[in-house]
Amino acid sequence: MTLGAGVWWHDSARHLALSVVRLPFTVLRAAVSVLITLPRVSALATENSLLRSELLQGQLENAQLRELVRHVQQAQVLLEHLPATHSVVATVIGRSVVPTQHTVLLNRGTQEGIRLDGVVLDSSGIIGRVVDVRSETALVMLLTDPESRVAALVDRTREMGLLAGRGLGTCELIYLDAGADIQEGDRVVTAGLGGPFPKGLALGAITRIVRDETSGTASATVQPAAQLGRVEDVVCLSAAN
Amino acid sequence: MLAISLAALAHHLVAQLATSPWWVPNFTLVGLVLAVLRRPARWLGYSVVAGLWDLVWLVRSAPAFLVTMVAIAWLVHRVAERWDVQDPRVPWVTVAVASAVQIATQLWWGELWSWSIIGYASVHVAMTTVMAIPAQNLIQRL
Repeated sequence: MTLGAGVWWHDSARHLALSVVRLPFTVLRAAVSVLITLPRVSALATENSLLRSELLQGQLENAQLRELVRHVQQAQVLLEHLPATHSVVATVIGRSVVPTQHTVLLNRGTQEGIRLDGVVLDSSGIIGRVVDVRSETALVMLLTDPESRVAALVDRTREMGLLAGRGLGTCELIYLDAGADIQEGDRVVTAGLGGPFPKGLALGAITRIVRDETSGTASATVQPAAQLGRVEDVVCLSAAN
Repeated sequence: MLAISLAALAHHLVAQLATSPWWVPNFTLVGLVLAVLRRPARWLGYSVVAGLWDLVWLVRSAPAFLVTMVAIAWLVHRVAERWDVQDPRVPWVTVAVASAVQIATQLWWGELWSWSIIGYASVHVAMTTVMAIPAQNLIQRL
């Protein structure tokens, strides 16, 4: 019997033999693996929990970044559509002595490019608009003046309303529906509906909500974003000629 | 006239330090009342000067504000003609009434009636009245 005559069954036999011989070694290796892994089960559970927390945190950060990207994209769109503006930096040189009319006087006027109805804001947000301007001074009516009216919306839910000054250092967001989706802490920004105020500028934050189910309306007290009693340096915006 | 101008200047200076005009005593009105009590015949001139000092800040109802100042000065001059202005109670009572009348007319024009506003106005009138006592001593020395 030559060697070549046994080739056709040799591989099969060897395969069968190895399968049989491999079995105890497989079982032995599995047993050793279990013995090694068993003490690490507790640590593995802890590591799994940490990895899940990190995954959740990563998902939250991802969501925030997506929202930030949305805001940036919106801002880019706004900038493209915002009319060209001319800005003048000014300093508050006087404050009203009349309690029922909240105004401040600026040290810049028409000579520097300030125009009537120009929007005035500081680093925190809008403080008011120019209601009288001379060659070297400008009079600004603050948001808290009882005659102040600004179209506004709640940044989170886009609920529309009108921000009215109440003469007490705060404003009130009026003409809201009783079921409006608003809550304390919500940021209020300009709606950009007519008037001199561009859209998206910070007005303040909601501090109290009053809902009247009988009339179907609601109103919210808004604390101005800018420190109107301490404002010093401001920027006046006016549409470029 | 000097007393009114100094009072108005003090009024403006204090207003720069306050967070709200509600917390600023109406020094201009105090100066006007005390000046008219001292020299009743000059009530019209004093009232116009005092009114012009405050007109800087007004964005509405300026003529009505000036008319109110003139009317208050006229009333004070009538008080000076009938009452003993040497009585120490007369000046501060007159200041209290004048301040209340002025703030009430401003609230009436502006239709600002609310309990909160009335509270603020009461504090404002009280602060203005308190200022009348030291201001009177100062004006007598001028």
